[in-house]
Amino acid sequence: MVNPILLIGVPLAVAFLLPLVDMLGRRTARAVHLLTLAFELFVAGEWLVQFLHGAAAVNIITGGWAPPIGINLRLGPLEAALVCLAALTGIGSALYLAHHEEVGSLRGLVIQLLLVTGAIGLIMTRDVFNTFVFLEISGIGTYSIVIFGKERSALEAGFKYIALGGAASTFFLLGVAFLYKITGTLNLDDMIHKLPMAVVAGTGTVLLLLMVGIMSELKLFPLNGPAIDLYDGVEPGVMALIVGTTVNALFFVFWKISALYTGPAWAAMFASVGMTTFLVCNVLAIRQTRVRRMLGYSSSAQIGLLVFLVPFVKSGEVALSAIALLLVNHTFAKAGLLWLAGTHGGEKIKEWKGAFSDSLALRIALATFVLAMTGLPPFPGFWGKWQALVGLAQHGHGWWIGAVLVGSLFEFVYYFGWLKEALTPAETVPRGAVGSPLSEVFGSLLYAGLAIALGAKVLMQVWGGFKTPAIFLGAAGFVLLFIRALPERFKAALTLVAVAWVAWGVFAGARACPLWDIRGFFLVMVLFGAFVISVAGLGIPAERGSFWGLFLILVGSIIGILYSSSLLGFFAGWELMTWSSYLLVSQGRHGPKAGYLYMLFAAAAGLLVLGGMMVAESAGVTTLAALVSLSGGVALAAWGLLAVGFAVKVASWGAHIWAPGAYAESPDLFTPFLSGVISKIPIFGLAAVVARIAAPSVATAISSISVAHILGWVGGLTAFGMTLLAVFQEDMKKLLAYSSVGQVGYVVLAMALLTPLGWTAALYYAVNHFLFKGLLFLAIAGVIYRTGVRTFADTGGLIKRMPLSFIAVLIGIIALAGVPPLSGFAGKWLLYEALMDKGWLFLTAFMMLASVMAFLYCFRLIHSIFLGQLKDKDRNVREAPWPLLLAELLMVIPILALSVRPQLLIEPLQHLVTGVFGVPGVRFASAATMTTHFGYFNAAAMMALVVVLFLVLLFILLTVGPKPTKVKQLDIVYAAEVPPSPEELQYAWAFYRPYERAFAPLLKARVTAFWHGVVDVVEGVAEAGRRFYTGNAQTYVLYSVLFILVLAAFGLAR
Amino acid sequence: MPLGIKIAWSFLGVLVAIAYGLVIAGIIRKVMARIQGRIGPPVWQQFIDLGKVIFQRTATRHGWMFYLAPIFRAGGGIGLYLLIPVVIGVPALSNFSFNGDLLLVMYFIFFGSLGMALGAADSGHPHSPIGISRGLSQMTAYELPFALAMVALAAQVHSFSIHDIIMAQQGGILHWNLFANPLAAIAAFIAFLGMNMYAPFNIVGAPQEIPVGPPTEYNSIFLSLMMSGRAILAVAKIVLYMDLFLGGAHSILAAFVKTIIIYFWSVFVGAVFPRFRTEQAVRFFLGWPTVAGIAGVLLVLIR
Amino acid sequence: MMAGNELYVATGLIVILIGFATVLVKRNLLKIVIGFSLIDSGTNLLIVALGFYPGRTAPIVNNPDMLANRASLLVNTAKVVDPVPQALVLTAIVIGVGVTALMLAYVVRLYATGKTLDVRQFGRMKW
Repeated sequence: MVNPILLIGVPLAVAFLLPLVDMLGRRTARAVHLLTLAFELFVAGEWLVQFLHGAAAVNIITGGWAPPIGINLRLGPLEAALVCLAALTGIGSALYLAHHEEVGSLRGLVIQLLLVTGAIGLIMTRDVFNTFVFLEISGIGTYSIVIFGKERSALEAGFKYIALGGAASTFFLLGVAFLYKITGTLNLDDMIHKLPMAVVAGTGTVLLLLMVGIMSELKLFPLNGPAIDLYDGVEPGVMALIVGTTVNALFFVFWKISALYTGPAWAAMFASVGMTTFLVCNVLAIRQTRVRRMLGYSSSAQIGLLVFLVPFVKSGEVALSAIALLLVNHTFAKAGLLWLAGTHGGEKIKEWKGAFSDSLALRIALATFVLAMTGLPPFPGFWGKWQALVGLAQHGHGWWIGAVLVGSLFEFVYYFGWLKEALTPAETVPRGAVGSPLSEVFGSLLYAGLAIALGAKVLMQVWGGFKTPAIFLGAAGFVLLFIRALPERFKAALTLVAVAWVAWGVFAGARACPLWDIRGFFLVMVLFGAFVISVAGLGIPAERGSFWGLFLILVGSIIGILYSSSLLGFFAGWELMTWSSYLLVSQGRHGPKAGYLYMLFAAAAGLLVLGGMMVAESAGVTTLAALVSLSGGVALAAWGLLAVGFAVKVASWGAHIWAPGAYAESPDLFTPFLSGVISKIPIFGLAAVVARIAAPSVATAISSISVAHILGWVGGLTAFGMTLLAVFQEDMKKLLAYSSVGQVGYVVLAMALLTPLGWTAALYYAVNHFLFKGLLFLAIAGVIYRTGVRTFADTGGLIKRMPLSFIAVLIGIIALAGVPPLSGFAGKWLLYEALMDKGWLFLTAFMMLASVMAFLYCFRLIHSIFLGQLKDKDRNVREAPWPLLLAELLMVIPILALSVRPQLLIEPLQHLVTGVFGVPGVRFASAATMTTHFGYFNAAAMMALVVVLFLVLLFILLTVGPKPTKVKQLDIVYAAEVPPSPEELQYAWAFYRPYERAFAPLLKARVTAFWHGVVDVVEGVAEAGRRFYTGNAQTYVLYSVLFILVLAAFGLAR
Repeated sequence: MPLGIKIAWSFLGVLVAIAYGLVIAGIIRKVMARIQGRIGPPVWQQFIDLGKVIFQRTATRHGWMFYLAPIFRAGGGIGLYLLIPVVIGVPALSNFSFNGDLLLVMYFIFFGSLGMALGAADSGHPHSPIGISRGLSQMTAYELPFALAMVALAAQVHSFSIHDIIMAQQGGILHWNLFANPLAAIAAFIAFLGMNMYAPFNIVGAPQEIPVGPPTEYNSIFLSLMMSGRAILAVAKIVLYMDLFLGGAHSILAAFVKTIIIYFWSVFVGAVFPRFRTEQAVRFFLGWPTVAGIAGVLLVLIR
Repeated sequence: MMAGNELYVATGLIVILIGFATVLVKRNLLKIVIGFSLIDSGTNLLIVALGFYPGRTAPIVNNPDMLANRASLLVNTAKVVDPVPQALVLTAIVIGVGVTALMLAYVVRLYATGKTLDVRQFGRMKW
């Protein structure tokens, strides 16, 4: 093994020798520079492998003096890992900076090495004063590299940084000196040993001085003003280097030195300062318009989170791996984002439209980093955050968890706000990355790849290997993302094969999955839905190359949810589903904006679910099955948080505003899946997660009321409210969007009944909605594909051109409306019987009203598109492509089968609900007649009656009376006038205006106004709050002084 | 009873019901005329009209949906009638009510309307969608008091079966739901006015506005099916109300008397009121009738 | 604190405070840099004072009396002041010089861009 002292010696020596090497040419100097970093990586890596195999940490004694007199260094697993990260980041930045002249110069090379050396020194040293020296070396490195900047902003930032750094190092040095006076040693380990024995007045003050010095270097609130300026003003490649080296090293210094700080007061101080930083910086970041400044706030926040966790790790409450994963995640993502920001060059967020539209790899890298930064799976930060929260939960730190979740939400706000811009196609030629050489973006790609690989590795530990369906589909999707040359229809065929393959494996029993339990039930729906979408994809080509790859990842993630038995596995799949569906939604024409709103609500839903799971974890529950054991207040909190989370995800009334846009603007090919399948997954959540917890009751003024009843009303309100809004839509996809949300409201309501009949109704309704809404969205996709329009005013009379699509929509709306004899009626019937059986009478009548209101939009949909007058522009429109019609047929067949025999589904459902409740909900009086406590229904006889009547009357129509003559389109009885153009005859705009007038008081956009109000308040707070950073160097120094005084006032200066 | 004989009886029943529907429509025209000081057409005028349209020499049609819609309309009316037991204790007149309960009836009402709406809209005449828009608006509005009343009845009897609801009303006139739950009855009977679309709720085929409304383009045999369908639908509805609120009927005569009474409720109201605007009608139903319905449900809950 | 060095410690603290006052109050960049120099000097003085014991001499062996044990050449620690703070100060001085130089370099560059030395003119990056 190489002597670890060389980790410091070699780069230091090379830094001094580099000017000589440079005489051989700049290329040689660069090569030597890179070789040096490679050497660091190799040595540290080799040691790291040793440590991971159980080797003990090594102490290196310098100058022949044993500690405590001499300075010693230490290399252990943490140190080795951090050195590896520093070297990797150094290589990435060196390659990147070679393309950016002013800092890629000889001086730049030297200073880059100086920064790396300083960081490695900080990481390895065990001597307090030596820490000070390396701190200053790093500082000087930073100051000098910044001064190369030609721009005034960089200079200003540098001066502020040096000013605050001067104050900070004074605090630090004073702290060191007094500590030496108190303990008589400068060796950290010795000092840790001796400090508790020294009872000297003022020790607290000394420790406080030292800590403020470190916190200032760590850029914690309120000492982070200059650091944020630095992010904004300095060449981003340099900042990436600083993130990967100095920032990590400083955090490690904090980690080491925090051993001196014992007692609850200090732990509380660390946690408070860290959490304050995390919250404040995340909130302030949402008002940033400049990319790198925003990244600066984010960095502060992330370091704040790490600092917050330190006392909990020290006390053994949180696993060390949580911090490690979060730190690695932050390094990968933040350095990667900074390099990408430099390569792109757009300083303002608004300039990022269409970013990297010519480079698939960079787009994937950008998305990867944003997802990683926001703590989404499978990236390391997700697992780190989970571990941290579990640790906090298990030791009763509920409020801290709440703070972490709130802060995380703001991260979504600004990161996805940025990604929204990047995903929005540019009106003009997009900036950046046009032919950027591989070496410039090498670091980004490397870190993206590492983040994906590391994340995938953990994910496979949770979910299983490549043979599990979820991982198989996810991996297949990931591969498909990179295949650019194939036509989209061929990719659809590949997707079809992959889905069919998995389905075959599942249903042939090769991978055992018990069918007709709740997850088997949803599994069938998901795989069938994915299959149908792939078939449709053979007809309508996807507009973006990444559609099918993301689609497979999405399907895989849903299957991962269904297969998971642990809370962690479930939640990982949940969040994977969230972001993959978000990216798919964003592929639509106005998708990025709608997708952003979708993501915010989905993120909030995810955090609520996470919160609920943490409540469960606090009671020691880690698997879904164990949720049964919850009781009392814990059960109420878990039930409430989970149910609200799932309710937000199904866009319940109040949180519904994301849904119409997301449904309407997502790619036409994706909407059927979004509406049909994804909206059902929260229902699975209710069934498989929430329902395992016994529904508690809450006391109200009148009587105690079951939370399930509240959820029922939420579902009912959603069903009613969304139906009402759907009536007035002028856009066909928006109409169906509101309808979808409303229909899922019925399912939520039925789930909330928590009776066998209620669940039968819910699950039957869920399948039925999947079928008819999928069918409707597919048919509408065909109409949009052929006509190119989406508003009702632009269509009409298409029955003449697209009769098969008309029939598809007709079947869809009859099933939706619940009119016998199609399958929808059985759903309504089950729902009402279940509601009556439970005794929720008002909800029954309320739902009857909502159901009838659905007729209004059903008729609107079919009339405005297919009936009335065919427009002149549509005279040559063709029928939808045959694969799409085939996909529709695949949905129609089950609808018709269920219409004749709803038992096909209801009978197996009885096994399912019997498994849950012990008794079936529906009984079968005969083979065809279903009965409940309240009523009976014979679908087959009903269908027979209708068919017979139809045939008899058709016979009468064909035989009686004169043979009808077909007249032309405009041959209508028109008050003795000649009818004008079809456009003027079509009654299609503001179709239900009188109805709108009648309901005017209900239609005020109160919910939207409420959310606008929330946004205004948060933005107002962020806007006012960020003025804290006045930009004046003196203010920042003043803050550092005041910070000491405030902390002292809290009694830390003993 | 063998299925064949049952079908034969039902066929006969349908013919009688259509005739009965046409007769009461004729009676209404007569009554209205007298109220307005006219002599009016004879009560059998509807038969004359029906014969006229059947034997028209020409017929025109638009698209195929236009062609099929009258089948849906007539089928919807006949089917609805067949789902409701007319006279209790007489299997021949209990029709096919074993197919489903009150919920099926409530939803099958829409079958014919939906079919007609689709066909009428296929004609391309602008009055059709306007009329349908109005009709649907009004329908959703009266559905709320109606649904509340139905929920009240079902909760009272603890069954959605129409047969059970009738049986619960036996044993005296005060057992009728009309008196057993007067609040629900008020809600249902006001909703009935909307269902029958006489004034003040005749906004669908509003004369002077959209002359005939949805079926503007229909003629000849198509129109005859529509008229028959409408006639039997009206009969089916009053039979339903009789079963739900007036204790059903034990004989054909009782059925005749009770249905006439129910029907004339809407006729007399229609004779004295002018027409609502659509939004007024909607607001009306969501007002006091709904309150009555809610009170009706509360009445059941309190008992 | 041990008797005898209060004056030096107090002086060090006062110089540090004067330095901070200068940094916080003066608007001229050069004066701010001078303020930082004062802070540095005060800190150094303070550290040296911490290791000072009245009546002892510098930790340099320039006559045999200072050795506790001739055979092993060990210093009689009771006769010299603590050498560690002095070593620290030596390093701190070097670093201080470096940082001051860099600060001055910044001032020069800032003056070149803004033609002013007023610190308030260099706060464009904010919020």
